[in-house]
Amino acid sequence: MNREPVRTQALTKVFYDESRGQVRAADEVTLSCSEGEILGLLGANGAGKTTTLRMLSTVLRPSSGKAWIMGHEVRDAPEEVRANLGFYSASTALYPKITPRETLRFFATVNRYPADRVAGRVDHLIERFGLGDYADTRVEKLSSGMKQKVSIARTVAHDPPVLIFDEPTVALDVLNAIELREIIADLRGEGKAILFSTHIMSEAEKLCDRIAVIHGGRILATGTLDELRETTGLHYLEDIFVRFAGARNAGSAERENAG
Amino acid sequence: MDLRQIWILYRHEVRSALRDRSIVVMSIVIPLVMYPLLLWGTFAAMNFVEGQAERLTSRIAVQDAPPAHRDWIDSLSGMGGVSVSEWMDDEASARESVARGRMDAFVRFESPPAEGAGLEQNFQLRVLYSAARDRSERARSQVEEALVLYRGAWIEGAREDLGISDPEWSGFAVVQEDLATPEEATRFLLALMVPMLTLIMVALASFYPAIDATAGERERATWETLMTVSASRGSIAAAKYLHVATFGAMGGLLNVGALVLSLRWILAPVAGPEGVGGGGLPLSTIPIIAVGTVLLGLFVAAGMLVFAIFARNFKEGQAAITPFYMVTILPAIFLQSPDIELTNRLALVPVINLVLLLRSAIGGSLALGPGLLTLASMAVTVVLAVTFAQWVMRREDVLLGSAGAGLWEFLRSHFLRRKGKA
Amino acid sequence: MRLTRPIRAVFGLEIRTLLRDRRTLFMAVIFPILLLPVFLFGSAWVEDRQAQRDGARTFRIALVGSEAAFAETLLADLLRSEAAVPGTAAGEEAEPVPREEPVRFRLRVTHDAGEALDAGEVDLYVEALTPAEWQALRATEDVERREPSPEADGTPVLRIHFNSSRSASRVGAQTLRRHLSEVREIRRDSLLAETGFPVPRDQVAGVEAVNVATDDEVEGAMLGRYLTLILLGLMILGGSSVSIDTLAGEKERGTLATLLTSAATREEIVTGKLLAVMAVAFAIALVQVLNLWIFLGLGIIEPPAGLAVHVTPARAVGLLALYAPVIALTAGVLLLSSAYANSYKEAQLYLTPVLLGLLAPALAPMLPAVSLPSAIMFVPIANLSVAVRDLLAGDVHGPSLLVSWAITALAAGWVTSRSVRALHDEAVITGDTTREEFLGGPALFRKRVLRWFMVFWAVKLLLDLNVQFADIRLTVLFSVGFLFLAFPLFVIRHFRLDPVQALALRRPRAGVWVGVMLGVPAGLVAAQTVFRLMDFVIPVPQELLENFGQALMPENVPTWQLVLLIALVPGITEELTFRGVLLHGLRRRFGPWGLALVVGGIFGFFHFQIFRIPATAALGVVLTLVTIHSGSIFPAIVWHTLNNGLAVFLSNRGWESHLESWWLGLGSFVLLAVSILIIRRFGTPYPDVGGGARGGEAGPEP
Repeated sequence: MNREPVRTQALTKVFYDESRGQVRAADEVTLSCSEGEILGLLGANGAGKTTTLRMLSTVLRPSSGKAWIMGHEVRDAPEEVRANLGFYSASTALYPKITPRETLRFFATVNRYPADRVAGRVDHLIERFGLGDYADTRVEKLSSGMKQKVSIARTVAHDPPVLIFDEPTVALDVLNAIELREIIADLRGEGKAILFSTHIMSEAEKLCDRIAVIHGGRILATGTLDELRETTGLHYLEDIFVRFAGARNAGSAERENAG
Repeated sequence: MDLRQIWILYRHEVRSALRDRSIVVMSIVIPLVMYPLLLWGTFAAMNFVEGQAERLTSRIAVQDAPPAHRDWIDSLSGMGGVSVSEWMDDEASARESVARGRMDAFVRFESPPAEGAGLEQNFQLRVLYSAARDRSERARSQVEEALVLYRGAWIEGAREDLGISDPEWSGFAVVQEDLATPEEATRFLLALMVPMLTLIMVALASFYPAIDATAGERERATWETLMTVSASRGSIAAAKYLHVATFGAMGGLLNVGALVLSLRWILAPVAGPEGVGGGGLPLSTIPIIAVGTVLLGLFVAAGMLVFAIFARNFKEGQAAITPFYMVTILPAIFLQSPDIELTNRLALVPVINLVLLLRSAIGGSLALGPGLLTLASMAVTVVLAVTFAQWVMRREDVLLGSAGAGLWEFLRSHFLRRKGKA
Repeated sequence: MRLTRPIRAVFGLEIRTLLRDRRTLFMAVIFPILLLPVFLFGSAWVEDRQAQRDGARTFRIALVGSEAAFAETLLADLLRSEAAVPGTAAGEEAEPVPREEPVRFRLRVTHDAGEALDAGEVDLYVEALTPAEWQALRATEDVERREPSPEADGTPVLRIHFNSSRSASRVGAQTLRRHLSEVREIRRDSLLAETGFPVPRDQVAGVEAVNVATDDEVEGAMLGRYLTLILLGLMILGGSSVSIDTLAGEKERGTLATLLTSAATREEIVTGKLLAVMAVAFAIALVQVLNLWIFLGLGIIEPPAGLAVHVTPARAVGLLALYAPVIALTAGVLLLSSAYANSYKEAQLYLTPVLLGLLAPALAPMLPAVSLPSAIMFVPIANLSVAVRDLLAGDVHGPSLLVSWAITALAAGWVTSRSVRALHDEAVITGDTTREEFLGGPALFRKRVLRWFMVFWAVKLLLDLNVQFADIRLTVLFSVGFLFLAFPLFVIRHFRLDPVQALALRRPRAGVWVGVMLGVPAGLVAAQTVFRLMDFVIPVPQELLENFGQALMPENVPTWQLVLLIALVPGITEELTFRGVLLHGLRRRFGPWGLALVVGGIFGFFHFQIFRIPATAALGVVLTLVTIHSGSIFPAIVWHTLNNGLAVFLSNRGWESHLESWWLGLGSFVLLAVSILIIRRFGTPYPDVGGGARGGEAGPEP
């Protein structure tokens, strides 16, 4: 069995929509991510990034195809998948009435982190993310920057080997976004396999080891930035992206005209 | 204040509210369908209970019945829902049967006590029953009912033998003449029900719009959008206020309408079908009910807005408003007593005065003095509440939602700051 | 079931969150505690005041008529007989006389008593007439209509004139009447004594009633009637404070997504939350009971008679064990309603129906005819509430108690599993807004169809109550012919539906008709059998049945009109409404059987009378199946029309009773199944049934 931290094979999600009929939100997505690597999912809004990542985190059930996290298949062993996974997105909020310390303890426990090591882990995270000053203040009283740090600490509370960041910087100011990227880079240094989705070109350019361009539910290209430059002969990621997405749009338009 | 602007803002508020499920349910659907539903529920339950009761048979065992009194047993078993059997065993086992619910009542004929011994063939019934069982209680009352009839017939026969004539025996006859017209009867019942229900419905119907127009806007982050439009704060406040009052008054009026539609069937068990006649709501009371409901709506809306305006989200808004809501409808329980009347003194108490005004108007006993006093006092209250709401809305900290979540915190901070300055 | 660490963590989180939410705590705990005394004192005050008023009230009465003197002696007699106070002869203004209950009559002399009554100077007046005057009056006036004629041969008649719209007048008349009958009894006693009757009247055929139940049992039975209801109400009050916030609130705040991407299973999450709701519901109910207890204990309020039950620890533990599944079911239902809501606000909206739905079965112990080894065993909550009553009254039925317990526990488990399923539902979790809302039209109709039918139900009930013509035929025509036709047409117009699709106006294949012809008589007998079966559970009051038969089959209406009104018109219009637009709107939400049950059930409820619902619902289920399998509405129309026509025919001939055989009933079910199978074999299936159910996911591509 492949021990690659993240691997998907023709992962597909079909929704039924009143006006458009069947919508293939993710269409045969195949990708992989290894230890100590950041794979960027680059795509516009509605391209299928979130659908793909939600399938990986077992919130959505794939219509077809397979996906493995640390060798566990998402449909067959959802609990094991989630135990090996930290999921962070703009929509994963924190409980307002409990403190950061309690938050970390709760998520470590709920993710089945060994009971005897929970306290040590929580102390470690508080120190590592510099939460010490407000570790015992309720989350609802924290500023958004503080909350963000708590949220990242929450994501790695159970020390999962795979991390998924779904558009993490979308609501952050510049300084917070930079800090977040630094933390993610650090986590890569610790050997985590990281999936990172964004629609911001510069972010993908700076942070990701490899980039997967996703549009209309399909992965159009995957590779390092240099590889992508080589394939397209373009320098800027933005241009590269537009080339792929444009070609895809033109292609589907042609097909519609033909049919 | 720009009336056109208020109108535009008002329409905007009402339109959004009409698309909110909670508001539509609480302010329109419930007032409208509550009576049909209650009515149906009551009738269904009544049929159900009646059917259950018809099915029920009282199992009564009789012992030592003398042949002369077989008639009594016949009349008992003829009552319907009664099965009578003869008991052969001793009383202890009968007692056990009744206590365990295998039998509902045990009846034994005994010789009468000394005072009753003078009458030939007289007897006394010893009835064993269990007060812990409804069926057994029912059986006992059936036994006693049959006995009362039997005793009556016995004495009736005896007094004829003794030569007491019919007129002597009855002495006099009593007839009742109810001079109340069907309209008066309807008014009387309506006066008991309509004001209280209107009050509750107005409060219920303003509840969600008030939260939605304040805390809801904050939660949806549309509050600041609204505050940055070119309309004056006063206009915004006025539009929101009118909007909440509209829903309150509408809920109240819809409720009265639905009540009138269901009236004949609600009143039938109370007054009998003849008592109600074709009676609906007397036409003359409609304008008074309308005015009263609108005034109630105006007052309740002002109060609710003042409480809700500090809340940052729906939950907070609800917690802030609920005490006001309860205090508003609390007088309803005290006003259940039909003989509290609108006096000059009570006319000064807001809400209570209006409820009493509605009651006396519907009952047809409205006096001019307290009536005018009520209107004046309500008008003053409404103006005060609106002025206060407007003043609050102009405060910057309220606008930005940083005033804390409650009216009291707000008042305290403002009061203290004033003092500090002085 | 093992309490895993995630379960404990979720439980702890819920409890901690609640304890830190001052506002919720205040609303759920403190506020009711404060409100209770206000309500208690308030109602006590109103009651006291009322009692004082009634007690201290002096009724002003006037006596008129040629027998006024006689009436006056009666009144004096009445006063003297109960409290021997001298000098009460009615004068200009008689002194108020203190009596056992301090009700007083004050005599007023008036010139025109009727005017005085109108003006409110007197509360009532008595017109005392000689027998002859009374006879003359009766000949001229239609007295009988207002009041059954009394046995007035040869005695004076006292006419009490009062106005029931004034409370003093009404109460005064009642009081006077009561006292007059007491006077009569006293006079009779003395008459008998004078003529030499040997014993006092109350010694004739006397009675001595002996209660064989112990005080404990009586009190227990008393308490048992209300205990479940009260506890359930309090538990819902307390439990909802957590439940509303827990799933719906988490969705709103976005923490549910966080939780669902953790390694905890959905079962663990739901179990942890369920335990939290149970614990809080129980704790808050306990606090409120204690609060009530304090008020009772301090004697601040009077307990209702029979409420002084001695609570022993053993009893309390036993009750708790009995109530455990009730608590679990309550918490489960609360949690489920929260799971389906998308926000705090929406969850709150569901609370009222949840409250009513849970409290209704707890009313069962108030029915005397319901006791334990019976069908009630199979109704969750109702069974245990009856069991508790019986147990407190001293009855123990071991096996049925166990069955009841198990059934309610099963229901709790089932409800909880539904919550788990809801957490698997992708649309519920991701909260993606559906496009129907802004598309409008047919798509929106599918979402709104149940709501529209609910409102239509209420409106139709109101209209049926109010629109009644002198001619019953017109009433039927309006209620059935017009309303059931107008509603589907309106819906089609409003939602811009395609009439052919919405009403399934397709040509059925010929083979279907064989099934219909076979099925109609079978369906009629089957519905009759369902009706008779239901009679075991919901017995129909005989009187009601007779009244209804008359209303449905009015006499002196020509047969052809009967056939038209009772068979053809409803056959067409009801089918258009239920097997037309309702089925069309619901078709994608359920599979064939679910559809049949839901459409049939709603069809049943539109027949309003509770005892007609089961049988009509059964017919509705059959007609829905016919439509689903034939793909057309016409077989259902024909079936419905023939069914009703056949029923009219049989009842006209008085042949209905021939159908009352259980064997015939059994056979009818078999035949019915065969006919449905035939229709299924030859029909074209209704398009799109069950498609896109649950979360809008389509199957794999062809």
